[in-house]
Amino acid sequence: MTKTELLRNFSIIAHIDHGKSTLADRLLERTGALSARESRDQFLDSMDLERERGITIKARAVRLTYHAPDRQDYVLNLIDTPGHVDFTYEVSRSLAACEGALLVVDASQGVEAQTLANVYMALDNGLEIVPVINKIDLPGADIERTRAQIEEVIGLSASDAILTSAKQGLGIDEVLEAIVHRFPPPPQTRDRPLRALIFDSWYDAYEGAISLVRVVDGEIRRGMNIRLMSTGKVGEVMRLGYFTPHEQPADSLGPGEVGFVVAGIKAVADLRVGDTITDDRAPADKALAGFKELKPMVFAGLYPTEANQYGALRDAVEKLRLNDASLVCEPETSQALGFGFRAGFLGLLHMEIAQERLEREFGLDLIVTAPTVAYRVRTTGGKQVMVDNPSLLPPENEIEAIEEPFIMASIHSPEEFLGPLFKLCEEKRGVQHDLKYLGNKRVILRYELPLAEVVFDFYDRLKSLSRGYASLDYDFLDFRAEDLVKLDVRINGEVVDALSIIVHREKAYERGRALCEKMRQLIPRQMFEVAIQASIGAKIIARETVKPLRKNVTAKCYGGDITRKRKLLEKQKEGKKRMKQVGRVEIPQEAFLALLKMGE
Amino acid sequence: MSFSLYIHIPYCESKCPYCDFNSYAVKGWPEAQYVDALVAELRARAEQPPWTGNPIRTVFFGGGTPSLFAPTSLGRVLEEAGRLFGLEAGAEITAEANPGTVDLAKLREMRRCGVNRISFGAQSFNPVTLQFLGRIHSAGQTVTAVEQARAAGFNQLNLDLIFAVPGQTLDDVANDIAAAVALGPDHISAYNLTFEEGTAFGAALKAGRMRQLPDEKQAAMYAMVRSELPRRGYAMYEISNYARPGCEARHNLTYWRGQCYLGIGAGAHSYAADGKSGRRWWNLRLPAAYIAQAAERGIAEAGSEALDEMVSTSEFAFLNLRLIDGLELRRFGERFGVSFEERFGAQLKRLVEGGLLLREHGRIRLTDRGLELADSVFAEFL
Repeated sequence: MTKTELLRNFSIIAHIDHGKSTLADRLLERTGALSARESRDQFLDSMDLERERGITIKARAVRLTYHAPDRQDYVLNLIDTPGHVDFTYEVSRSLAACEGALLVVDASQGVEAQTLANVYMALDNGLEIVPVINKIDLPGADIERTRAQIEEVIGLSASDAILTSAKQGLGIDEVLEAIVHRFPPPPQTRDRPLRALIFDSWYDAYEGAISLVRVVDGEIRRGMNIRLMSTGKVGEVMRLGYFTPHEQPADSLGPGEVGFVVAGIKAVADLRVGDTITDDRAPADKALAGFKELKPMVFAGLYPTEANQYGALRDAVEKLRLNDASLVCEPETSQALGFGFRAGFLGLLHMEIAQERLEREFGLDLIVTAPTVAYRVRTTGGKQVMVDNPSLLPPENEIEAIEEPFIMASIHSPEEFLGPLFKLCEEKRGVQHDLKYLGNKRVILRYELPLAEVVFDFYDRLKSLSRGYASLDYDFLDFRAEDLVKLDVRINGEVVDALSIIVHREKAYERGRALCEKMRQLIPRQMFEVAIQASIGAKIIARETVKPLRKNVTAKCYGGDITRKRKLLEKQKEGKKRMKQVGRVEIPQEAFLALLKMGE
Repeated sequence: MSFSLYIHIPYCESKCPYCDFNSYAVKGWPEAQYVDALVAELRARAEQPPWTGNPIRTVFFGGGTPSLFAPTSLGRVLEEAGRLFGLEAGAEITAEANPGTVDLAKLREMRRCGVNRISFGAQSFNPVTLQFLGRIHSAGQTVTAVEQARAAGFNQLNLDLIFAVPGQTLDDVANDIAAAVALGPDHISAYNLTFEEGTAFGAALKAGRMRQLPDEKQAAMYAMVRSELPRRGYAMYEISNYARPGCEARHNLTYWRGQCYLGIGAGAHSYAADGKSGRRWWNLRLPAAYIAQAAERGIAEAGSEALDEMVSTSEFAFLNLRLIDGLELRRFGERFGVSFEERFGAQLKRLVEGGLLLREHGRIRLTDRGLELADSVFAEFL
């Protein structure tokens, strides 16, 4: 166990591409955690998917031993954070496990938005922040301007910012010294009952759910019976340890220490991020503040392209859920698509990641239907039903009102973007709540917005209109009755249930037209003419036609070489594999997500 | 059960730029050795099921250019086939010929050696089109060859035509049809030009040096061909084939009906049905390799494929559907012990509803629209 005064827990806040991963690698190298030989680039992003998207999804913690010039051996825990609005909560819990954060800013790019949201979150969590101006070796580096910008935009003193080039290994020693001398050690609270914050958890096929924790009070030991304070779930600590980044076992973890805990608990759903672990025999009175049970915000159908893959999908979904506590899945059936699942996600990115993992890790071919939020419907019979699948909306004559979820969106932004921000929020049916000036020409704009309008392209548009400077956070507010209608898509006259969406009446026409147009582009010409219509009830509001193939016939049969003829036909058929047959029409996977592609 | 015999002659005077058949342009060809090899292969196959003891229904000399060979060479193979298997009375015996490679004497000789049906690769009667297709004969030579074939006693005569050639107009195609019909053949095969991989045309297309006619235009040409020929007495009985009543090519019907055929010669394919499943095999493609192997062992197989019940039903479906008469449901049931509906019900329903297939009188067949999309329809049965 490490003395608390020799412990430092910190994370790195940086905009994408500003050099977070490279700096982390240098810290690992300089402290000897990773030999140059082992130093694959960007050790911390270990999932392929993250690497490709350049996003860190799962937090990781690495323990570094730093032989400081003062001859002390410090233990530094570097805690990595994900970086997308879908995972804001995970970020906040990772930051809550730290005392300090390095704010890395690219000397040639300046301060950018992703940074800001996390800086404010770090400040909210009471973290000490040390600015690091990186990439000073680049020809476009402007250190003084970056310094000034950090002070103006963020309001942090940058006079003692550390200058680095992580790529070239410059300034790394200074960073290590700053971690030791400018970040406070964790408080010494060994005598208190155990409280450990879970800031990440994942599933392992052999050990079940594993959590990454930061011990806040007391001590966790091997063999101890622990209790999860939100659920009362109990387990015995089988294994403890930390990552250097290689796994190291430990007998106990004391106050301020960071490590992993294996406690014979199977599902990650029982080891929720933000929950508090305590000693079952001597429990703490109160859990650590800040635990939130994450609720799915976006729902979509998951179906195999081929019906015989349903069993494989079911197994894959079960396995994925062991690893992803925020993924919710229930079996459902669709007339068009057969057997599948209705899945709930934190947001669209989470949905895309789940889809990609199912396809990549489990080799499935999936159809994902248009995402929707969950609506609350009051029926004329006085009942209240939740509808997370538009095709299951009760018949119109039984609906008293359709209520949609509203959120309170908090948008941090430089004030220069206020005009376009107002415009975006109005377009999205928002109601302004308030507007606060933070000084340094920054504002917090709060809008009440329908969740349905926010989960789609809101975040991307916010980012683009503010050149990346504005950030978004939101909380659920309430359900409100709005003038909503079900918009159906008909293929050759038949309603395809998997394509139905719920929209505001005023937007239905525009949405219907755009949807049909996009579908026309996505559905290839085939044997038959394909009529694509959008309708509200029986009323057709838009129509597009995919003209049939003119000709597809090979005159020759290649004499007796029928094998060749068959192979040519098989090749042709192969191209249709990723399509779903609906009636006589073959619909490609991406057409089911046409809703999301209308801006493209 | 009788079967069909295909005999491949892999030599040509020149290689046409669109042709992807197993043929080689050579100056001199080892005719005697090649015929010896064919005879050796016939003898070896005569010992094997399912050929042993079954008579031959049709013979087809294809190529290549079979008319390059001396008629007596073809005669020797025929004689051997007759001796080993027996030829059914009235057996159809076809030889392909290039108009420029025959004269009256040769045609008479062919006829005397037992060939009773001749198929000329006319392709077009337009000098521009013929030149584009790399043909070495002229329209005049085709006319002469047809007259001479009739004089030699061929009362079954086919002309091959190719349409949708780059540069061709609808009128050009109409003129070719009129010219062909004017010669009074018994049978006309009219093929839409295809650009095959591994041919000069295929490479030119890929490299962007050549363009296919637009689909619209090709479709219009195909529509004209299949309305013009029947109007002039040639009923359409397959995707690319037209005949006067009773003059359908029986040899090709063997392929389309999924019946057994023995193919001998370089690169030839054979098919032997065995109950619900079957086997297809093919010979070494290179003539020299084929000759060496057949001379030594009789058999010169290069590869084979076992066709299970599923594949067999698929092939049976898409082959029979090439025929205008289509597929006889009863025959499918008898052959595979399962009804067509049971095996392909979903596709059948969809395609009938979509107007691509027609079901009547115990048969299913392509509609006129189905003909234009035949490959799409066939792919549904795989």
